[in-house]
Amino acid sequence: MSKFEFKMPKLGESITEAAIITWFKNVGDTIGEDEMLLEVATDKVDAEVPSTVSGIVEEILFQANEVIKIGETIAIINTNGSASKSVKKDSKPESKTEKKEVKQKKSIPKKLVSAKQNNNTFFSPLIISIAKEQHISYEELARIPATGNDGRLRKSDIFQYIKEGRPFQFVQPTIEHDPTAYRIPQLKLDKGTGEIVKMDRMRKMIADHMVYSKHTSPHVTAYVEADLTEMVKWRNKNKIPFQEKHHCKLTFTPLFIEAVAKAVKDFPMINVSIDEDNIIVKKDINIGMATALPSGNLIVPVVKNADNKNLHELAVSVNNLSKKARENNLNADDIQGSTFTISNVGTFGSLMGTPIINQPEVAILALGIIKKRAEVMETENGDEIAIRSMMYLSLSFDHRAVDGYLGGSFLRKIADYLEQFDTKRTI
Amino acid sequence: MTSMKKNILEKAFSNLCTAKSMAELYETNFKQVSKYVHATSRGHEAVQIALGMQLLPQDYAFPYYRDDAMLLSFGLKPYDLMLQLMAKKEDPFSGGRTYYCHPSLKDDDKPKIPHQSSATGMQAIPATGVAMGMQYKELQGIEDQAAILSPRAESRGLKPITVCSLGDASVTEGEIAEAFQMAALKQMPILYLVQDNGWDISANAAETRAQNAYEYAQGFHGLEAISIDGANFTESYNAIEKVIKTIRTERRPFLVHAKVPLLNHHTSGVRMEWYRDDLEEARSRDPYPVLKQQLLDAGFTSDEIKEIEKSAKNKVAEDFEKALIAEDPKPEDLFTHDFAPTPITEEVGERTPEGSEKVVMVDCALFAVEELMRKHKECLLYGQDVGGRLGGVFREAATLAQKFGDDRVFNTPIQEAFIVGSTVGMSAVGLKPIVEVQFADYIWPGLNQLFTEVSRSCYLSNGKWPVSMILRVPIGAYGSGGPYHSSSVESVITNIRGIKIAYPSNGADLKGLIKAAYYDPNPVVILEHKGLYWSKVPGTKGATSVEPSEDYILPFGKAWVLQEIWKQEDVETLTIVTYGMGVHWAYNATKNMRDQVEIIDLRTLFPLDEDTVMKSVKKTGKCLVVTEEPSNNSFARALSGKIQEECFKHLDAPVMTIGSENMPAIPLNSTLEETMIPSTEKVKRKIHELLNY
Repeated sequence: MSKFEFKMPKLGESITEAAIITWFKNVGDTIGEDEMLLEVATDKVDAEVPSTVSGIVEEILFQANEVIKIGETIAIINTNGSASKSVKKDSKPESKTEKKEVKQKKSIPKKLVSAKQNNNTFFSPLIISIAKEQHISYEELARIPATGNDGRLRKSDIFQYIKEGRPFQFVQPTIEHDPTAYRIPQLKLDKGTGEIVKMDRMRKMIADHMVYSKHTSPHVTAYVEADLTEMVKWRNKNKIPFQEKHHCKLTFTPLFIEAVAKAVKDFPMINVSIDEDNIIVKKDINIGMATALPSGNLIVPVVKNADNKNLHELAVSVNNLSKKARENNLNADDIQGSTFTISNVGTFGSLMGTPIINQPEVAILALGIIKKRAEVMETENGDEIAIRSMMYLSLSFDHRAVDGYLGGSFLRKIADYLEQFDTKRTI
Repeated sequence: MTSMKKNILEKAFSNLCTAKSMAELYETNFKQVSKYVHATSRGHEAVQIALGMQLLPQDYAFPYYRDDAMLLSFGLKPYDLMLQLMAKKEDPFSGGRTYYCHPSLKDDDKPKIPHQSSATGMQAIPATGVAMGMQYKELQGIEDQAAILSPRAESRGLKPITVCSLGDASVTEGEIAEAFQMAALKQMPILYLVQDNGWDISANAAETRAQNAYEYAQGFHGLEAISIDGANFTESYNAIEKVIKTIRTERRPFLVHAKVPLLNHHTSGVRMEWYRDDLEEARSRDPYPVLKQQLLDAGFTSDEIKEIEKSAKNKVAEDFEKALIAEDPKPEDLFTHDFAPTPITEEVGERTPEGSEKVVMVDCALFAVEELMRKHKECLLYGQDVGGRLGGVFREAATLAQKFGDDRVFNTPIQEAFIVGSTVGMSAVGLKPIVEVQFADYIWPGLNQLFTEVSRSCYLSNGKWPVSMILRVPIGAYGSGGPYHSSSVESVITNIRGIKIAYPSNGADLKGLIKAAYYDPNPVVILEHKGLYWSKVPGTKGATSVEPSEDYILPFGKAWVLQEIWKQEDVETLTIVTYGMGVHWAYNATKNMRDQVEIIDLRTLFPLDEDTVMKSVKKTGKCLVVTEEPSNNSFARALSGKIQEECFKHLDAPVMTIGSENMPAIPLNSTLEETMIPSTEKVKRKIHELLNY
């Protein structure tokens, strides 16, 4: 018969009482050593409290929201219970801890019975900076088994403790986090071996931008399909005459931009950016077009005031920017001021994509490959199967600013403009 | 008396009037000009001008702080001197760094003036070093470029002389004896001009000396001395003319003792009226009326004389107005010319050539010097017992005298001040002296020259006169050397700014560093551990090296991480920062923890490779500085403090220092010696203490 009185543990030098937030175990549950028993709150921190013994929870003496003095018994655990591990438990865990601490290096710290506090609470500057990096509180530091002279916590102790998964970790007070800061989780990934290629500045900027965008904006992606048969026909017919007349190649991009700009005009709330609590509605419609540089890096040159340009002007502008990008000649002005971005993933043969928003914009359009497909057409003679040039369009939008209704309508509108292409228009 | 050419008299009188007008103007404007202390030549002008007018551009002069009339006679303008009076930026001597009439000059058309300190008498050894250098160049057939290229045609081809100007009171100082001894012994082409006004500051001749400089010189056989009336221009000029001519042709030293009255204050900081009891008498010996009469006798009219006086006075007044408004130095001017730039910045050559043999450290040094001497005529070696008979008490110069002759490798008397200070003069005439004090324990008499003259020459001459020299100092305890053959002194040396300091732990480093030191235009002290010379101390076999190739050079300021470890998180780690013998203790002490302890051999104590040190300590989180010196107030303690300051946030324990016990001397008895100084065992215990901290 062995009833263990589980007491409210010491949570820090200055803490005299703690409130129970929740019990993780009910009466009759089995609990293992180091398994979390309850969560408590203090004026300083919220902490999960592990059991120091294994057994069966026999009694719970206080309920959630009750405030308990440190050291007061809050639960009774029957250590003769079936949950006992094969390791024989001593009825005096305190003394056992001390013994273990002495031979800390060889012992398996998972077996540490209690989060006994160190008497020596001097922490060196190095320990403090490690603690800061790892988000370890003073209260937690005080619980790490210390092996330095006079019980001082040494560097090797703290890293050993981290390696063991921080058995005495407290729940982190959320107010201390900068909500915009992205913290790298401690995943201990095996990064593997191979040739190491250092990221160039641009690569790093792209990486930062992408992580930031994904981290900041809740992305939602919507898809539509558009029948481009008429537009393709028109373009094939006018390709050479356009070239002869304007000395300028006619690609699909200016046609897409034209349609996008028109749709943006119809839905001005797509042409916005978020500045904390404010939404800035942009007057100009500047369409960025994601482009690959010779180095393989991504860049977004901008067709300014796309809604005010006719097809010829758009073609000139698009061709000009593409040429500059290919030759690494883009200047600062060429890549500034975009309000909405398109990415023609079809050029790589992709059917569709889920693009990442070009911050601080709120939406980005990906255009898939134009592909001939057998489509069911409704005709006067009933349904017929026809060969049509089809394209998927996908729009990723920032759900903070754009809801499904707006995003979907806008996306459909682009498709409509593409499908209802005026085949009689002149060049 | 030979009759004097009129133009000489006119020029001399003009100089005298200019100097006198300056002294008077400084008195009139006392408040304005006495922010910084100054002394004037008033009363001493005649003999100064008589000497100054006869020096040539190839000559070297060491005027002292009462010699403003001499500077005028070299062709300097009142304006030049007044810029220094008020410590202006354009002061041609020091850029506002040192006092009035503390000249240093390297103009083509004037005698060369190396830097000299303000401490009286201290210029005698550097000046004698110049004369020794002139003699060496003549013996080695090294051409005197200044004599060949002199802008004054009449002076071309004449042999140069050295002039050292002294006040009689300074002749009582010990270093003067070292200088006279060497000049007399080696028969050097030098003129010591001693201006005797009978006063120190307030102490007079009767209180301070048993004999005057002329009488004193009689004890230095081979130093010919004359005594003249320095207030009589014609007499002075004629006597000095003869002396200079003799020195130029016969190449031997002279002392000219010139009696002069002191007619102005000792300096602007001390009023003569307070304590002088001989002012009336002194004024009766004023050189000014004497020279005026000599002009009248030579046929100048009173009007002509008045005209000379008036124009001198006007020029002085004009220059003063101009100097008053000249620009002051800027705060950033503080930071220039502490050192001349060295061409040696990269490690080059083969450190460990294949097929070469392992040699003891002392031989690495020997071979380095030998290679340098073979290559450069300008390179010479002197010190106590380094000459042919013994080749150094540690055989560190063995065979060199046989190979290069007694003129290039020679013994000096027991004169540490001369050994160190003469390099200022040797370097000034373009030579590269390597000198040695026999034991670090005996560096003390040489420290005055090292601090006062050698270390500050470059800085206080505003970059004109860096002193290129190497001072080799055998150092450290090597087993029962006792209290006067075992001491460590690096903290004293590292407290002198303006010198570079090496303290190698092995032969390859020593050889590479001697080469770097040779090509460095600045003064370098190389501390060579006596226990490592022959790996005599047990456990120091690591000091022997495969001899690096002849072209191997190791720049100063590059520490060596001889034991490098990875950053380890779950193991306690430590950086040991050390040098010299400490490197061997540290290495031996970490035999069973090579991957826990990083060891940095500083190699040079100045410049100090702080980057390497701090980077390592930030990596390991703990640091032990190991020194052989008693640890209190030592270089090692100061470095510990600096590491603490820089690495505080990265430290898991205080930076610790281990050194000798803080007792006054290393006792002779071996038990006491072992107790006194660190050892592998003691360092090991300290390492454990720190790892377990």
